[in-house]
Amino acid sequence: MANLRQHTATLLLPTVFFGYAIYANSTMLFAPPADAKGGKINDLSLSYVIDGEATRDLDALYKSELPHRDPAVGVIGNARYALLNSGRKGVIVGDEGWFFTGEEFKRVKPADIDSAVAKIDEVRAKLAEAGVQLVMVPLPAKSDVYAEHLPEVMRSDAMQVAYSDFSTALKAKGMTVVDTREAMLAAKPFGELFLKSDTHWTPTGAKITAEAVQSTIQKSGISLPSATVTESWEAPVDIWGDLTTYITSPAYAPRVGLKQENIPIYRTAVNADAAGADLFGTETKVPVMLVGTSYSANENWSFVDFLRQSLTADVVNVAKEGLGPGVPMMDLLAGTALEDTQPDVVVWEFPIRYLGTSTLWERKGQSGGGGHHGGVGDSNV
Amino acid sequence: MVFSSETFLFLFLPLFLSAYYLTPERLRSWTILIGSYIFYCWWRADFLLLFIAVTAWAYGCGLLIDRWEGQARAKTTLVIGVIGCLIVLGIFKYLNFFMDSFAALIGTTPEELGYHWQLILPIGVSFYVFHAIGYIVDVYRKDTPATRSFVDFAAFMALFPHMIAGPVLRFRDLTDQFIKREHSLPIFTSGLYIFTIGLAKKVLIADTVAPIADQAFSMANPTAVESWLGAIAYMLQLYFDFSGYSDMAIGLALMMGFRFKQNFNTPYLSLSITEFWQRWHISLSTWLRDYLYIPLGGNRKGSARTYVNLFLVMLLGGLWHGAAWTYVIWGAWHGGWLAVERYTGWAKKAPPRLISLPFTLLLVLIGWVMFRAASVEGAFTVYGGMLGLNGIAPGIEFLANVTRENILFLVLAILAVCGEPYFKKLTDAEISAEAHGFEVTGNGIAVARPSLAYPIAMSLLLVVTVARLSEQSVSPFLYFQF
Repeated sequence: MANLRQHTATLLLPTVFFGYAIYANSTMLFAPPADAKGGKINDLSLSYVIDGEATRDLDALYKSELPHRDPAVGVIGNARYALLNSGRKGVIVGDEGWFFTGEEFKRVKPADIDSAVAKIDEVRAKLAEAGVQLVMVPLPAKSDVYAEHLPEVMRSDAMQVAYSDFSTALKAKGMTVVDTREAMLAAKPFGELFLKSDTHWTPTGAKITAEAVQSTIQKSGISLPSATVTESWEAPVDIWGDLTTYITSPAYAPRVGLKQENIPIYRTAVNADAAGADLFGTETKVPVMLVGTSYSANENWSFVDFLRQSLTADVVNVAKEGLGPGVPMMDLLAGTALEDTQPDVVVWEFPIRYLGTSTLWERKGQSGGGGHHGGVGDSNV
Repeated sequence: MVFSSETFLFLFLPLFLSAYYLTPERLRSWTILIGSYIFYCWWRADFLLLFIAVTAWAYGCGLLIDRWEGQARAKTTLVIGVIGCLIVLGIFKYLNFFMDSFAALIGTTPEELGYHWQLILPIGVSFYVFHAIGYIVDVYRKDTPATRSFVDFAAFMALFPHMIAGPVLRFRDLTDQFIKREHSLPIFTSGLYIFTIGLAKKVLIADTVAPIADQAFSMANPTAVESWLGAIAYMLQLYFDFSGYSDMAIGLALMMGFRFKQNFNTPYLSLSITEFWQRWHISLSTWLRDYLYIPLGGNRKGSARTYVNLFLVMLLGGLWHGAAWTYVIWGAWHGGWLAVERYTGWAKKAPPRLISLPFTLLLVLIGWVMFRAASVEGAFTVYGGMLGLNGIAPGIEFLANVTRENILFLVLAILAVCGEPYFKKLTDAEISAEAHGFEVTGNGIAVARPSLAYPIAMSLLLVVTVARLSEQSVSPFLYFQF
C-alpha cells in the first residue's frame, strides 16, 4: 500500500502536467485553423522567422487557443467578482451592477485640454476653409453622470471639471458646443442614459444628446435643408456589456448574477425625394456628417438615427470604433469623404475621457486611440 | 521564450524532455544544445551567431590557456579572452549609454556628434558573457581543466534553464554533471515540484502585485501612500519574479539531472546589507566576489582599499544590471553601505533584530526605488512622494488602476516572505530530490517526506497557476532586460 502511495505521489504531478499537455496539443492540432488568432503562421518567409515574428504568432496562438483558456477566464473572473467584488484592471465595480471604465478616473491636466483645443481649432479652421461648420459634442463621463453608483472612495469631480474646462475652452475659441452634460442631468430622472454594464450610452442617452445637438444648432442659427424622415423600430438585441468582459467571460457571467443588456433599436430613414437626391440617385450631398467614436459608430445605440430624427435631415456617419475621437477626424481630413459628401455641418462626438490620452490623434498599433473594446483576457490598458 | 508562457509549458518543454529522454545518454549534450538554441532563437534568431561566437571564443581561449599553462602567453590569452568578452558587452550594452552620457556632458546630442547607433540588446548577453569570463578565468586559475568537448561547453553555455536570466553558473560546478548525472523519476518529479513553486511565485504573486508598482512609478506626483505601496510592491515583485525564475531554472535543470545551487535564501530577512548580498542573487554576488572583488585585492590590501573595493564591485555590479545612471547609483548605494557596515562592524554584529531588520529593509527599499525608476529624476519623484511632498492619501487614478486583488496579493506576498524560512527547503534541489512530501520538523523547518498531500497540493497549485497565467495578458520576466 505504501509502495502504491509512493508511486502515486511520484507520478501524480508529471501525469497531470504532461497528460494535459498531450491533450491540449492534440485538441489544438485538430481545431479548425480559421478560429486561431495566430493564423498568420502560414507565412514562412526568412525574415518572418528570423525576426521572431513567427514565434510571437505561435505564442499568441497558444495564449488564445488552449482548451483551458475560456474556463480559466470564467472561473477566475467569477471568483474575483464573488469574493472581492472586483474585476480585472480597467473596470470599476459600483453598486447594483453598475460598472465603470477605468479610463474615466484620471486627472486631466490643463495642458491636455489646451493642446486638444488647439488641435480642434485647427480642424475647425480646415473645415471652415471647405465651407463646413463644426459642432462640437463633448460627452460627459458615465462616472460623472452616475457618480452615486460609484464606490464612495472613487467619487471625484475630475471628469466634471474636465468637461467644464473643455467646453469653456472650446467656446472661448468661438466654437459651437453642445452642452450634453446639462441635457443628460436634466433627463436623468426619466430613464437610464448609460448602460449599467457597458461603457456606452443607452439609446435614451443617445436620443437626449441628439436633441441637444438639434437645439444648439437651431440656437446658433445654422440652417439645414429639411427632409422628411420615417421612424421605425427593430427587434431589440441582447448584448454583453463591454465592461462585463472585464469581469468574467460571458459563458460564466450568469453564474455570478450578471445579465445581458437589452437594447431597443431605433431606425430613421430619410425620404429620398425630400433629401434632394436626383432622378438617377447620383446626388451625394448630405447636409450633416457625424464623426466620433463607438458611441456614434455602433448602430446598437442608434445615435445617427436619432440625429436624423431630431435634425430632420440626412446624416452621413463616418465615426469609427476603437480609435477614440481624434483619429476618425484625422482620417476624414485626409480622405475624400468631405468633398464627396459636401456637408454643411460636421457634428463631432468627443467623449471627454479621451482627453490626455497619448494616442488621441494618431493610430498606435492596431488599437489606435484606446477605446474600451478589448475582449476577455485581452490587455485592457 | 519565457518559462511562464503557454508555448514553453505545453509545447517546448514536453517536446524537449521527450527528445532528451529518448536520446542515448552519450548524446544528450547535443539534445541540450539544439533545444537550448531553439529556446534562444524564439526571441529572434540572428543573435544566436553572437552567442555562438562568444561560446567559441571562450572555448578557444580555454584551450590555449591550458596548452600554454605556466607561460606568459597564458596570461596574455586570459587578458585578451576577458577583454574580448567585455568588448561584446561594451558594444551591445554600454556603447549607447556612454555616447549619450558623453554627448550630454559636452552639451550636445549623439545625433549632432554624428553618432546614433540604435543597437538592440541581445537577450541574455549579460549572463552568457559572465559565464564565458568565469570559464576563461577558472581555466587560468586551474579551478577547472579546459574542456575538450565543445559540445559539452556549448551546452553548458546554452543550457536553457540558466541561459537568459541566470543563475550565474560556473562550468566547474557542472563539468562533472555533464559527464555523469543521475536520472530517475523521483528526481524528475522533484524538479517539477520546484518548477511549479517557481512558476506560482512568478505568476500568482509577482505578476499580481506588479500593477501597484507600475502605477506608482508612472505617476507624475505620487502621494505618500501611492509611493510607499508602489515601492513595497516592486520590492516584492522583483523578489518573487526573480526567485521564481531561479526556482524554475533549478527545477528544470533537475528534470534533466543537473543540480543548481540555490540563488536566494530569504534575503528580505537579512539584518544587514552585507547579509542581504549573501542571500540575494547568490550566484551573482559569488561571481562578483570571485572574479572582481578578489582580483581587485579584496580585503588583503588594507582597510581603505577594502572599502574602495567593496564600493567599486557594487558600482560595477549595478552597471552590469543595465546601462543607466539609475543602476550606477543603485550599485553605489549598496557599495557605500557595504563599506559603512564593514567600517562600523555592523556586518558582523548587527544591533537587535527589531532595529536591524527594518533598517536593512528600508535601505534595500530605497535602493529598489532607484533601480525601478525610469530615470534618476523619476526615482526622486517617488522619494518625494514617500516623504509626503505630494500629499498622503491615494488619488482616484491610483485607486482605479490598483484592484483589491492586487492589494490582497501584496499582503499575501508579505506573509510569504515572513513564512519563507519554514518552506525554503522545498526549493532546494539537494533536499527535494530525495523525497516528495514535506512535514514540519521539531525546529520548524519544512522538509521533504513521502506523502500524497504534497503532490496533490502541488498539482492544485499548478492548475491554479496555469489558469491564472492563461487569464492574464502578459507575464514578462523583469530580469530579461538585464
